[in-house]
Amino acid sequence: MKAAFYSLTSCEGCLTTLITNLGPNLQALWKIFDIDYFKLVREPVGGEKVPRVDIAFVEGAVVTSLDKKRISQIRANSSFVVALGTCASCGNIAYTASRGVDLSKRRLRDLEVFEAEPLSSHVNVDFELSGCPVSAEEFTEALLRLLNGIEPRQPDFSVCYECKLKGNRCLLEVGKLCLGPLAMGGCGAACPSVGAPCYSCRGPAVEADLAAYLKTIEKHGIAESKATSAIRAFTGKKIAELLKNGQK
Amino acid sequence: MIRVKVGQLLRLPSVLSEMGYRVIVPTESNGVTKFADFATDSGIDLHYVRAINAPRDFLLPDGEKLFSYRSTATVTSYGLKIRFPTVEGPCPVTINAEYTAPSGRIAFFAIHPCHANSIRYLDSVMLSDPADPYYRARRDGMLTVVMECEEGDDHCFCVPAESWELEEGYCDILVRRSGDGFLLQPRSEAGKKAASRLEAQEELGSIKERPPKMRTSFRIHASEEDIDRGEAKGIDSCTLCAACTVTCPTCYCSDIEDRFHLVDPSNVERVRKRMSCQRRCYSMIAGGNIFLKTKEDRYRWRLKHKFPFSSKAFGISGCVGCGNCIAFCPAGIDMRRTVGRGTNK
Repeated sequence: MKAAFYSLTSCEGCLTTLITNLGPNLQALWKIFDIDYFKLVREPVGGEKVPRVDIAFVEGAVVTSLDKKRISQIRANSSFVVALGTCASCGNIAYTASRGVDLSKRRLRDLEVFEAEPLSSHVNVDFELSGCPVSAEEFTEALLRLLNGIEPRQPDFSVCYECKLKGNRCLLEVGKLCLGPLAMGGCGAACPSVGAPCYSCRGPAVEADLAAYLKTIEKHGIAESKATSAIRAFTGKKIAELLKNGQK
Repeated sequence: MIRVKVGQLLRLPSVLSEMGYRVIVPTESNGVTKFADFATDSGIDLHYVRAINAPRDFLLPDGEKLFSYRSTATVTSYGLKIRFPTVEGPCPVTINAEYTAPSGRIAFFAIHPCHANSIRYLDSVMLSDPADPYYRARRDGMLTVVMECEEGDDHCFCVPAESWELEEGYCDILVRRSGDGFLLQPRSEAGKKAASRLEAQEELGSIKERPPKMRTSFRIHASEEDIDRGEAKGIDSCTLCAACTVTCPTCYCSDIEDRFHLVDPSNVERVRKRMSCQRRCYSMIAGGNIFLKTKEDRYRWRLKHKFPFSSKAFGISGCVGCGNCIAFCPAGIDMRRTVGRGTNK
């Protein structure tokens, strides 16, 4: 089976996380797959050419003209495309940061720069793995399911669920703006467990309900305006849907 | 009955530990009380009213490995192939379950009567035929030191829920605050043995549990019709965070997962993970259909499981009146409004 790992415009944090967190499993990955393209690990076999593969993992948002070209080439050459990380699945910080800015005169060397978009704005994506960066454990689980012909799954719970399982005190109760009830779980409530509020870096939860969230924070004396601007940071393109549902 | 000072009572966990128990004590950290394994530097909280977790988390731990088995997975040039029942028909291998039952005895120090009754409820579920071997192994030889509550907080309702009394077998030592010290009433042989090691003065007389003071009084009416008809006030602000089920001491629903490993793909671990009826996949069936679609469906389902379903199946109520689902709900949803009648609030 062939696999490839691509990077579009991003910090390359997702692929770096995979390399550092998979440890000995990284070698196992090479035993299972023919990996022709994983630039961070070794020089691609066919140079910059996009190889024909069974599974393509793509990190990063579509920002430049090269990204646009690459993502359509990747889609055409891959049976299954997995968006790796929040940039690829939601657009992440780049999505909001590139809105309302005059990009017409900005160039990156000879490349044109556009408003950042997640992969799904340009091509069909078969599965999205959230996370900023992505979790190596979730990646492995999704991969092993794919190999067995089972559909990989996204967590159906919010960060709140895992936070309560860990026995943490609710940060909303102490008046901190925590996006836990809206954020997609699976991170093990990493931030709230050390007292830092959740910023929803994994994008919105499957059943995120903004209207309910706004009512809840109102009870804890937190301003709605503070929340809506915080949500924009990571949720990228998915914010639109969330805000639509959140209209009271 | 013996009378002890605070210092003596606080020695009890180390005494139990010396007796070979795994001791679980209430500790305070970051503004919440949480049960945790006893260590000599544990700051034991004797004044807590509610704890965010419960004995359930130790008797039915989340992510418990049930057994492991070898699958027929082989690494070939065509990739990894694991065969198991759900994918390709009957499993081609006999599953030789390799598992070790949990060992050791567990002791709960300073749990409240509602916690002791939550163990009673879990017993009726997990030990009814066929008994769960993992639960039974942990449960056998368990010792409980039950600390009486004098007064509940705004969310407590163990008196209306009738769960302040202790059945035989669910309290080895009863502890009551008295003056600047405590009265200890051993109720079983194991309890007597532990209490005798405290070297305290025996006193005449004995104590029996008494109902704590409640801030609210009401009657619970929780038949299926009552729950269907009852108002679900504030449910629109529910964010489905599932705090109600996670912090409930009697919620035992679980999901089973097979875990694969990249390094040794033929070694599969089967684990039991906590599940919540507030989650989407709780009621999901093949094809992706879900039965409990709305928040209200899930809210009423939770109450039905706690009250009428449990009474019918096990003869006791699944709600011990600890009030955790109310106290820890970020949206402040109060189930007493649905099932309580004649409230004085």
